[in-house]
Amino acid sequence: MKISKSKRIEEAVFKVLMWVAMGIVFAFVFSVIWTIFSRGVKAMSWDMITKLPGGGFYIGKEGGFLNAIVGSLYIVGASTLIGLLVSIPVVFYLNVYRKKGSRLAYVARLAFDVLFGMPSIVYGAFGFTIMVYFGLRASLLGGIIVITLLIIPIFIRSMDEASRNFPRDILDASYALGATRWETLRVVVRQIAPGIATATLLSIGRAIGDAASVMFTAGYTDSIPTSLSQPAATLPLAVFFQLSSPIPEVQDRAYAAALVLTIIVLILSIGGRFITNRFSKNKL
Amino acid sequence: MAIEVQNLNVHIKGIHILKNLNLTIPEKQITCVIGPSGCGKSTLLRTLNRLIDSTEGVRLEGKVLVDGTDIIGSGPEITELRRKIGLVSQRPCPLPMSIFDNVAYGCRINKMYKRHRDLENAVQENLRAVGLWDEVRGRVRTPAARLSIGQQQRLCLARSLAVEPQYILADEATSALDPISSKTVEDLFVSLKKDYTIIMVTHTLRQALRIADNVVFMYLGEVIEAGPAQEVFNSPQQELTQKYLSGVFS
Repeated sequence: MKISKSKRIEEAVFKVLMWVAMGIVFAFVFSVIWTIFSRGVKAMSWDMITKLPGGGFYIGKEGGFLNAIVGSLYIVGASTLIGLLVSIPVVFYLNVYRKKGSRLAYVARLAFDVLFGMPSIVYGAFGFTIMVYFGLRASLLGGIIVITLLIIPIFIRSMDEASRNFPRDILDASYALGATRWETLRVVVRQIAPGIATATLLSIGRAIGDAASVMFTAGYTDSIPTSLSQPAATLPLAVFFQLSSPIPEVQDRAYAAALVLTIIVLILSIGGRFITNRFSKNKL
Repeated sequence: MAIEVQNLNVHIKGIHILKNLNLTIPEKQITCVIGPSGCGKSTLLRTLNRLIDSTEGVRLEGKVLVDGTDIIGSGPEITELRRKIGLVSQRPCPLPMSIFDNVAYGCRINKMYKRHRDLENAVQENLRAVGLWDEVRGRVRTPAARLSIGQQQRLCLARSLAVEPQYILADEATSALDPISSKTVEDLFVSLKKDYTIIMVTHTLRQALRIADNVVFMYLGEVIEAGPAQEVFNSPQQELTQKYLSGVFS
């Protein structure tokens, strides 16, 4: 088939543009990973992930940032669990109990969109105000509450997206067999399980990586918290504080912390994919 | 008489959809509901098992007696009613689970069997009843979504039969199927009428001709003519029915 010259030039230009754009994105991703790895690996050692900071850790002496790893896992684990418990009923209510075109559902979705777009420092400031009001100090509990608030809109919006494409015929099919709405919900869960998994991954990713919201609410400490009222260290803040140091060895440790953060997120993503694939085999 | 509809009126968001319907649907026969699109056939079916309740802004008036009990108003437990009245929809809609679980689903929620062995037998029996057992026997644990459309429709029928209903509502149950599957499902309905009262909405007049014992012709939300199939098809009393049957409009 013959194509006119101008069309061919047009196509060539666009091809080049696409290649360039792809190249920029790839270069960007690789340079991020390379930077974190090359600088992080230098400081990385078994001690880093198994020991608490010793005296003088922040001027380059021995120790590790186990406190931040455990603190992050505590906060993210608890807030993901609470977030799920709160969000799933909301999503079901919006999609199964409310009829289509409900005003309340519309307003609720709008509200969640607004919350979704709110910067995390605003959540941090809000949490801080509340804590001051109740006379609470920076603590594990404060961190968990603020991170929960931060990820609930993410949970709800992404699960809501997944359930809105949900074939309503399934509801009818289940009702027609004499199922109650509660029993029908369990069928809905099976259908949107991949959506829930994706939402959970997105939320964990945001929760584990956020520094601004936990800075004033969870605080920072060199030990592992043993109760909800004690402050907790987090990985993003471990990166932040060590990176602000003028000492190169300490800066490298910041990259090691970033590396750990990246690896945790990577493991979760790959694990999540795997689970999602297993769950979605029955999906329509 | 199995189902008796008396002065049934259905309004949806202020629009009068079904207008003063009066019908008797005889037991253990196939009653076909025919009529042009938008005449209220599906609304009628959805009223019979009260699936219409999930439509927004719906108002029901009149009486629908199923085995002598009025199902409009407070009536019986709605899940009980729906269990008694099976539904096969236009597009097959398997639940997102395995073939086995699809059939077992209704039995489980209605707690019909105590022993797993009994449940397995029931599933097998119902899959046999729709002629699906031999096709899927080795893979009942695989996702139902992988079956062909025709198989899925028979699976949906097996799923309905598994909760031991007395009535089967079929809403254009063959319209999404290829001719061969369509024929299989149609034959199934004929063989099922000795045990079940079947009410079938259909768009294909020829199908109604082939299998109907009774015919209800609806037009713009009203029942124009109803009676034994022979009478309605051979000597329709109303002009509208004559026109519809001769294909003046469809």
